[in-house]
Amino acid sequence: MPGNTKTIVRDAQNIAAPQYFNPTTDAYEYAQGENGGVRMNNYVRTAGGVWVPQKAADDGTTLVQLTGSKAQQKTDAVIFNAVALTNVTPVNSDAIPDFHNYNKRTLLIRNTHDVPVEVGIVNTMRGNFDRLSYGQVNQEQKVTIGANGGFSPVLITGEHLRALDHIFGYDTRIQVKATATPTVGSITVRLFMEVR
Amino acid sequence: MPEETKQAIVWALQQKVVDPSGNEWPLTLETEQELVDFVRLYFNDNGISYSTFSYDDLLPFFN
Repeated sequence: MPGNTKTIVRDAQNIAAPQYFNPTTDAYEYAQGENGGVRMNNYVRTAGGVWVPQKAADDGTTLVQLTGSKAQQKTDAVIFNAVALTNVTPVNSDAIPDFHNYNKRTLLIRNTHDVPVEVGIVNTMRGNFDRLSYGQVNQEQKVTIGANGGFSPVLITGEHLRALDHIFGYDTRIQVKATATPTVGSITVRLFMEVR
Repeated sequence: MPEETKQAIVWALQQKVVDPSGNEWPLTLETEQELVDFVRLYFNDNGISYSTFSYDDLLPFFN
């Protein structure tokens, strides 16, 4: 029965008392909370517009649960840790785990060699490590990092290296290649990846 | 790695880095790229031949 068919509860002076309608007992009941306060439920509105009571843990704290697939989808790794190149032979990194699981990637590069160093992305679609190219014109995916960048790390994003913004499979690695024989210095490459 | 690697590291750790603002700070085992660059400098200055190496190749010589 709806609440408007029931009689409200009253105090000794026949005045309406603080109360609520309990649909389980089908009657109005005194609102009796802790330390004389009114006992209340917290209700929150869902995205679908439904009001639901909030749950609490045994100690009374509100229960919070992260859901969805975007939690903790951010990572960074040192791809080359101060590698002192001594010739112009390309050097490939180890395979980058889960490269295809991220859609936002940034390279942070510090080249202290006395020659510029090319940085590219290689992939094993053909079975060998091939440098990736982009689009129908086969624009090779590489950037050239200037020499003697002692205190100036360079930030490389998809704006400079389109392959960083795209998702593709197979074994993917970063490749560095000195443009001439370096005599001093080294190169450090860090890769930051996240899902957006 | 060359057999002189240990002494190259010891020498490198006695050097100081100076940034473009003139600030100086000592090399440590944690200033990874500076350490590699100074070890390489030691090899060059002492005519020691070496091939491509990285900070990770220096780790066994730290103890």
